[in-house]
Amino acid sequence: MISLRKVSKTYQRGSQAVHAVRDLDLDLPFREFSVITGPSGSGKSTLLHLIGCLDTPTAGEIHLGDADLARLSSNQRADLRAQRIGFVFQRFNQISNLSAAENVELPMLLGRVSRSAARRRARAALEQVGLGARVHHRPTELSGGELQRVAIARALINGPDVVLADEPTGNLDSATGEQVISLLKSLKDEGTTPVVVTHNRDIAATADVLVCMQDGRRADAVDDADGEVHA
Amino acid sequence: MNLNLASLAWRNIRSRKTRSWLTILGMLIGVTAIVTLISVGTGVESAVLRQFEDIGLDVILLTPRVGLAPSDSDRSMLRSTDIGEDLGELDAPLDGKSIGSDLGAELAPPTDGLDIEDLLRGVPQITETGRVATRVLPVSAGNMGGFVRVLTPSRELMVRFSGLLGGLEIAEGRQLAESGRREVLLGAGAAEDMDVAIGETIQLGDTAFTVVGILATSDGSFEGIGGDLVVGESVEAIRALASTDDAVFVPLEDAVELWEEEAMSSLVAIRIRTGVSVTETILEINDVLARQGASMTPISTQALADNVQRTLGMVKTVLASIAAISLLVGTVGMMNTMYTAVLERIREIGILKSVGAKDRQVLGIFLIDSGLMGFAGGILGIAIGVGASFVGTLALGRLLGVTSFAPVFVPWLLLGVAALSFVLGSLAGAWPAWHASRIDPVEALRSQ
Repeated sequence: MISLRKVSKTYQRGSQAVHAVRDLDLDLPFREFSVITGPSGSGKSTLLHLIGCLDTPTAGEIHLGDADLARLSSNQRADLRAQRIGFVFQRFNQISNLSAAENVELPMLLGRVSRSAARRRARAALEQVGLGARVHHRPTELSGGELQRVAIARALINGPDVVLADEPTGNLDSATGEQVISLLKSLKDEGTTPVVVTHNRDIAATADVLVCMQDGRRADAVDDADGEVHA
Repeated sequence: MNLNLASLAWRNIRSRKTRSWLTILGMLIGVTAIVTLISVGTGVESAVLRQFEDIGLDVILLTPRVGLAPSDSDRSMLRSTDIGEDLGELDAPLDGKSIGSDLGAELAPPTDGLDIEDLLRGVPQITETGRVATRVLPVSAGNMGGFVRVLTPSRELMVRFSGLLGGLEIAEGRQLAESGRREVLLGAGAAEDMDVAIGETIQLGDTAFTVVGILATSDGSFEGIGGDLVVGESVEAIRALASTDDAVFVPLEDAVELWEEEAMSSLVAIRIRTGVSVTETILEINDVLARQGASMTPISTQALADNVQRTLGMVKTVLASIAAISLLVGTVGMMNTMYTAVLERIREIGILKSVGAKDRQVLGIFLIDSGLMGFAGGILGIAIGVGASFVGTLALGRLLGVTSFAPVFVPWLLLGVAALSFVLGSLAGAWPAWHASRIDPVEALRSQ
């Protein structure tokens, strides 16, 4: 379970304080397809960054299973990102001068995996997402859908507990977007929890857990499967 | 070094070829300058010191207090002319310069007043001595005529101090035999100018001499390097003796007999017993010279060598300092390029952190990146520097007319420069790398 208790995040933008997340309580169960939605500036991406240890809360507690994220050091948060969390971004975020395989190898090379093992596993991961023939291609030589599948392969390469996707279909056509969402949904069958931030109502409609954000707070929290409010 | 981080750094270097080469270039130029200047400088130093070693570092030279060496412009005195013409023309200006009375005055033998036997008695640590005099005499050979520098070494000097005369390596014929046989040995250049062969006769002053030997071409180390880089009367005197190409050799005894009124002891070489204090011996020699009223100055070859080494050491230090400045400029340029690279790669840093890179790993990637480029610049700079040293030595040798010196590559210098280039490269990347490691991942991922 991903649990947030009384979590707030305030940024200082010049002299102005921006309350991106306010006093948020939230539970996202493991192995469920969770979707966070809401208008722009509602705090969705900030919430995703807090869960993904890219950012730290100003107040409150965040638990990823038994790990209290707010108490972790910078290095421990990095380790957690490497081992238990995978990210998929709207802008694909591939390193342009590396091939698809080299991009997928990155999380392993930052760990203790040997280069040969990393290369082998990266090829296997790319084959798994249907890009076995594109391992040596640079990001500029891949389509949007292919880039997002490379991103998913990279997010999964270390066998994470959670994959956090921030508008993963934002730069894709609808058909490719559906394929990507389908791929993300399938992860829960393998024990990985997909959490997707999106504006897309169609995707939100298929969520196991739907969280609507507004002004840094929850607007609602509904489990589509049983209709119960989780918050 | 973490090989995975090194691999990531290497991939970055490889994928940004133009930027990487420009970064490497700064270090390469600095290292090339250091290797070239120090290797050529050490080669020059080594060549000059080798000449002193050939003479022997246990030797003390007594040189007249008035300089004896002919100036560069006067050194080549043999001039071709029609033998049928009035020899008086030879006193006319040659190449716009008179070599008549002025030169004679410069080389006029002072009465040194030296009594060798008395010196040997007064300073018992002396084991052997040799003398050599220099004079300029009219010469004619075949249809050539002019003036020539005549070196008149004693038998002892030729045998025991041949290093002073450039080694006296015979190319053709043989060495001078005992005196009284009117034999002459020719320097390579003099033989060529006179166009004479072994067994032929040349006229020195009023006397005919038979050519019995021709020397190999002098390597000219003293002539070119010692003379031009090291200032000092004693070195000038040695330089004049070691430059044998334009000279002819006649036994001292013949010279004294034939040209007694001009006889002089231009230089006396003394060898002392091993283990004896050179400084104390020189003091004792000075006492004897003062008592005799001899106008000569003792100096040890070791002291001369030390002086040369000191002078060349200073030259090397100045050159190395200039090269070090170029290395520093290269390092600053590298820092600038690395910082620009960090700014260009902010988003990439965000990606690295999102997939689990720790701050120190980002720091490491950038440090290795700059360190590897510094090292590459160092290795390439060493390779180019070695090549440039040979070219530089060749060019300098031709300029100075010296053929016997080569660049000296000191292994610790090359290894040190290679290591230094890695360290400087890493230092150049340290601040940009630290900056990169501190970038907030969320902000980095938002950047364009």
